[in-house]
Formats: sequence, structure tokens, C-alpha cells
Amino acid sequence: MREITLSQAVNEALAEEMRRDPTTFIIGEDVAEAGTPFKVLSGLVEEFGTARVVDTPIAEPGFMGIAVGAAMTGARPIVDLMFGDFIFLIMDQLCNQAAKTHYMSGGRLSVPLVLRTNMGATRRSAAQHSQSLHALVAHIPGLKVAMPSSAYEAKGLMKTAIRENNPVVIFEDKLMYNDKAPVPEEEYLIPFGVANVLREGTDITLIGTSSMVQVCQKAAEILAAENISAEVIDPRTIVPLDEEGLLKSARKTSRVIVVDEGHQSYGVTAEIASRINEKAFYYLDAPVLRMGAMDVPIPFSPALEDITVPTPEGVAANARKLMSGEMIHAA
Amino acid sequence: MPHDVIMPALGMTQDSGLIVAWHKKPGDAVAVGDVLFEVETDKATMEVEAAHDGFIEALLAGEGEDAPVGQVIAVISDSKPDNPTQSRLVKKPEASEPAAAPSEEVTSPGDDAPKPTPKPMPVDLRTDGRILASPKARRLALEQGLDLADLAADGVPQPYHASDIETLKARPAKATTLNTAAISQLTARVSQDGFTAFQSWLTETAAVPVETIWASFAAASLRAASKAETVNIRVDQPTLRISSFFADPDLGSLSHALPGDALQVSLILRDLTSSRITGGSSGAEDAPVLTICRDGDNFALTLTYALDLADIDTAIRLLDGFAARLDEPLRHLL
Repeated sequence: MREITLSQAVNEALAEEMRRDPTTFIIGEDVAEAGTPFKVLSGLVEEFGTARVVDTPIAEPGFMGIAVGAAMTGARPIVDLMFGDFIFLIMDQLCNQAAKTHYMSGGRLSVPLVLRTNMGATRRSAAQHSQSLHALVAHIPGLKVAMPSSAYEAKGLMKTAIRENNPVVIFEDKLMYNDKAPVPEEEYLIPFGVANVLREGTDITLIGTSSMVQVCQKAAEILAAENISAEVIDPRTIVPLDEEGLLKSARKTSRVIVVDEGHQSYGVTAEIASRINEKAFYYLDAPVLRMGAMDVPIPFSPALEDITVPTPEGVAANARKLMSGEMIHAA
Repeated sequence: MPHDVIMPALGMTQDSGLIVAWHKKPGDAVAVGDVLFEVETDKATMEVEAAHDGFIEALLAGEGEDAPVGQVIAVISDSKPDNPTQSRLVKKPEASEPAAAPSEEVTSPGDDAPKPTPKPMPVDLRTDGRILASPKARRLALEQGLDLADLAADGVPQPYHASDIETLKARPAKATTLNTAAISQLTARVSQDGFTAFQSWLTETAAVPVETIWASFAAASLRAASKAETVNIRVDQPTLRISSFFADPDLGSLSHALPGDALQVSLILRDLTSSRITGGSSGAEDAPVLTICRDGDNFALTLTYALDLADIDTAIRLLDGFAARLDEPLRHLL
């Protein structure tokens, strides 16, 4: 099978859906001529024209508001938010309007909108361009949140998101845009709320999101060399969450580490760990561990930045602790 | 006259003291007020002075040792001792009981032995009586009828995980709780003639099972012997694999002695008359056991009981009374 980058996979998904559905359009900063700073959208304006690939001024609340209104009135906008960190600028349009309109209109209005944005540190982009803020929107009922972990996932999830009749936020990891993966030429969709078991194991479950799936897979390889059999699961979407899939693995292995690049406190790791504690308690042989980004602003210093996010070695070290029956946070 | 030096109580809640250093060696002369040793309590290190003049005859605890309050740790003699001695409370660390709390490691003996640094105390995970175990380990133990407390009793370190269940399963089964109290035994021998005649007479009148007769006779004998108000008899007929319970079978007529429920049994009657066994007894059981065998023309009776269940006088009266009733059954009806 051919291998393409995550960037190319997203580009393909957008192009295919825009060809299929004339109500779709892209709106955002530097989306047309520049093709975004990450060149994800290269070539789209040439095919679809500036009426469907719309460059905006630097005014996130404005173009997000336009997109929400367009979605309510029959279009399928794909909003490009250049950095995930800018999500703070559009919180009202996203969380108060897009997320609640279907509910508050008694189902008479829908907001079939996709917000494409990104996440991820260790790109030397400093504290305002490196955050992973998906937990913020996952907290709001009415929003679906997808977190592709490879080029294959990115394409399949994007196409599903565009066909979804409710607002979806997709977080792509900035560091993965050039990562290649096998992606079939023929069309495919990835359903929301179905976790993907990337590696089967019996001793410990590593649940990872986005780029942390790769971290978990590398950790699983380290552990395999030590005769520890790790299962790696990617929830794919954190809303809706494939709770049963995660619980099934937790019950099987009885040990779980949840790895996500958002800040650890009050984050996605806490939510998933808590559900496992509540619903698989009697199958657990060790506390469910969370591994998120450190609760600090992402440092600009490369030496410091690199230690704020979970690493394969760190995940493997925690897995060894759980396997050895070491007391975690005793007292 | 020798004077014992004991570990003093230096605090309200102190129950032992760590000997940090001896300031005198065996054989040394001491005077009242001389510093004898330093002791570390939970709060501070204090110097303890000699309370008597004399000579160190013996040092009975070593530096670095933790001595219970009141423990004799040195002896001061009035005259210079011929063979002053030095010893330790704990001879060898290996000699301590496996289950005992870990003792301080003993370094090589001698005056210039380095002071052992007290090891950090392991957290005693069982002080509040809880056993630390993972939810899965608890569930597995529950499902398999295992008790995690057995692991704790074996000294397996906590917390417990699912893998410890294998250890728990592999552990030798818990010894069944035998009544190990001292037992005593009395035997009697009585002709079968009287009872056989009585039984055939009784059978003509009413169909009374033999266990009912045994139970009735035994209950009456026990009541007379012990003044008990309630007498519950269990009759075991091992050859028939039957056990019957009787509540106060001696009160009322024989034909109305109905089997009762499984109550607190006062006496077990073991009827071996339909077997070829001519005598014998079991170990102590939860109630005194009266075994009835046939031995030729006689009944051989054996009463076995744990001394904590009955006293000898009661036992004698019980067995004698029962034997008399077998010998002359009509006495029972009087």
C-alpha cells in the first residue's frame, strides 16, 4: 500500500469531500494562497477557487462566527484554526453557539461544522503555540472531538467529521504532519466512538491519544523486550469515547496507563482513568496511572520543553512499576 | 551485693530505649553519678548515671540495641569481678523468630565497633488491621474462598496483587481446628442381657428405634450427672451413615422422644453395635463422645471427653449411670 504523510492524508480527505459535497467550504487564515503554515491545504484553492477556500483577516472570532451561521443555514464549513492555542479566541462561537444551537432550537437547527486545528509541543513554538487544549472542548456537551494518531486515521476521521451533522473539533498533532503511514487509495471512513487496538497484550493496557499512541507503541516495544506484554489502544475520538472497548482491555490486563499530551490535571487522562476505576474496579491489580503534559506553560527552552511531555521511556518505567506491584503513592 | 541496672523509662509513652553508647567497660570501676550509658528515646538522647558505686560486672545489652523498659542491661558489683562479661540481648540476627519485627543488624562485636545507624523503620502496613491488596486480588480471593490474612500471617509483604493469589493457593491448607485440649477417657463393660430383654419387650409394645433408647438413656444419665437443664444428644450410627439429634429425649415417654434439630450438642453417642469393632475412642471433639460397642456378651462403653468440656466427677457419674441403665433398663423407667 502507498504511504503518504498525515498532511497529504488530510488534504486528500478535504479534496474528496469537497468534490462530493458542494456545500462544503474551507475558511481561515492563510488557507488559500499560503496553504497554511504547515502546507496541509496546498493545491486546494487551485481546484476549488477562492469562493470555497476562503482567506480571512486575522480575526478568529469573526470567521468562526461566519462559519457557525453558515452551518446553521445549510452549508458545511471546515474552519481552519491555525494553532490550537487560538481556540480561546473562539470559545463563545464554538461552545455557546455551535455546541448548543441544535439543543436550544429544539432540533430545528443543526451546526454541521468541522473545526480543524492542532496541538502538540516539542516544536520550539513556546507557550502560546504549543498547547494541547482538546480537554477544554471535550468538556462541552454538544461537541465531538477527534484525535487522529496517523495519516490513515487523519483521513478516515476527517471524512467522517465532514459528514457529521453536529460540530466536530479535530486536533492534528503539529509534529506528525510529515509522518508517513499506509493509506489506501480507495475511499474509507473511520466511525467515531470505536477505539483501535493497535497492539494486543495481556499484562498492561496503554491508552494513548494522538501522538501519544506512537509513544505508547514505542513503550510497548521496550516492554516486549522485557517480557511485558502491553496492549496499545487508541480511542480515536475522546467524544464520543469507546468506553466499553477501553474497559474490556482494562479488565483483561488489569493494569492501565493513560497517556495524553494535554496538561495532566483535570485532563483527558483523568477522565479515562476515572471511568476505568469506576467501571472496572474489581478487575484492577494496580492503580490506573495518568501521564499528561506537566502542569506548566510549555517552555521555549528545548531542554525544558522536551521533559514536559510523556516519553516512551517514561511510559515503560511506569509500566514496570505497575508490573512489579510497587506501591504507587502509598501513604 | 550486685545491683541490676535497668533500662529506665524516660518518657510517658516510652516502651524501649536504644543504647547509643556505653561509657564503661566490663570490669571498670564506677561511682554514683558517673555516666553509665547514653540512651535514645523517641524524643532525645539522654545520659544515664550510675546509681551505685562499684564495678561493672556485666554489660548485658550492646550498643545499638533496643532494650525494653525494665530490662536488666548491666550489673554493678561491690567488689572487682573475676570474670566481667559483655553480652547482647540479641545474639545473632538470624536467631530471631522469622515473624518477629526486624531487629537492628548486629555489627562485629567489640568496643570500637561502629555505631549501627538505625535503619528507617519499614512502614507497618498492618497497624490498622487492614490488609492492602488490589481490587483484583481481593475479588480473586473472595471467589476462591481464600483469606488474604493468611498471606499476612505468613509474612508475605503487602500490598497483594493477583499474582499473590497463586502463592496463597499453593500454601498448605490451614490445619483444621482440632480441639487439642487434653482429653480423658473412661471405659465400662456391662452385660447385654438386660438391655436385649428390655428392647424386645419394648418392641412388642411400641416400635422404638434403638437410637431413641440410647439417646434417652444417655440424656437421663447426663442430666443426673451434671444437673443440666437442657440435654441435647446426637446419636451417630456410622455403619448406617445416620446422625440423629434429640432434644431432652429423657423427658417424657420413650415413644415420644422425637428427634430435635441440630442444636448445641451436649453429648455424642457413637453406636458401633452393628459393627465388629469392640472398642476404641476418637480424639477430643466438640462434645464428650460415648462410644458403644459389642464385645462378646457385653457392651463395651468408652467415654472420651476434653478436660475443658467436662470434669472427671461428672464423667464418672455419666458413664456409670449409663452403664447401670443398660444393665438394668427398667431402672430408667422409675
